[in-house]
Amino acid sequence: MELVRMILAVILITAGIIMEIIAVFGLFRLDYVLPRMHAAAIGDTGALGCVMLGLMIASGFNLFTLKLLLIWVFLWMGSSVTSHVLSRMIVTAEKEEMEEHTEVVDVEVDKL
Amino acid sequence: MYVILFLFWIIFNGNITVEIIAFGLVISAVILLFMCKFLDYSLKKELMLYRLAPQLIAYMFVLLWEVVKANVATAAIILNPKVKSEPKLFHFPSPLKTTLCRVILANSITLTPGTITVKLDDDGTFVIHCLDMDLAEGIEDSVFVRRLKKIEEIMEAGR
Repeated sequence: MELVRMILAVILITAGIIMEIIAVFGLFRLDYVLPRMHAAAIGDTGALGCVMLGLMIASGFNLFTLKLLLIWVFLWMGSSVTSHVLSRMIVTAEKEEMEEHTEVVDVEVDKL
Repeated sequence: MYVILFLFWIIFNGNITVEIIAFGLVISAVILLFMCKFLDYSLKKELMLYRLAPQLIAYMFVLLWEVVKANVATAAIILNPKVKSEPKLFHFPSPLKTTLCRVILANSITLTPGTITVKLDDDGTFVIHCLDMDLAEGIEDSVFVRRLKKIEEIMEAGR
């Protein structure tokens, strides 16, 4: 039982690390800030989720597991708020550069 | 909210004894009172939250599943060397009326990789940036919107 749990935890943490590698690879492959943010979002959501789930399984069922769950929840809440603020900042502040890289479908960028 | 505050107290304490539970019950009640007095919260909203609890918990699992699916789709776009992604900025009107549900939807959209909410207007229009149009297809009628509509109906009925 202990062995099965550890194997499951190791598999999940490894999956998380692989996802983080994909996220970093995406950061270098994509060419502009907004697409790069999508790549970073993989690291923020998928990789973090996998690693936290792995750690929760490894620690077993106790109050420490609930603390890990809290870290997970707070990081997800913070990640979505910061990406929204950053994307809005870029869309409003770097209008010309943004329109070069993005296809704008009837959105009046001036009014944002 | 009272239950959430109490659970926080227990989790941060790290172990469960009679004293900790007794102190926790009192302190949670005091914080709830503070919220009602200064933070625009009320007992009516508290009762509404308990009525919505099953729906909200179900929503969390739906969100988790959607995040997993979006992760796989975005990773596929990044790893495929042939695909040249076409980032797009577009808007869509949402049928949601309450600010609570709109904010939940905006955060869910931002949390799923591949789509970011750039702006949420007062009239419920979302401005979305997406990495590729495939990731944002059918966003006007996604699982999130359908679930949140149901939550709004329950809120409407309980008023």
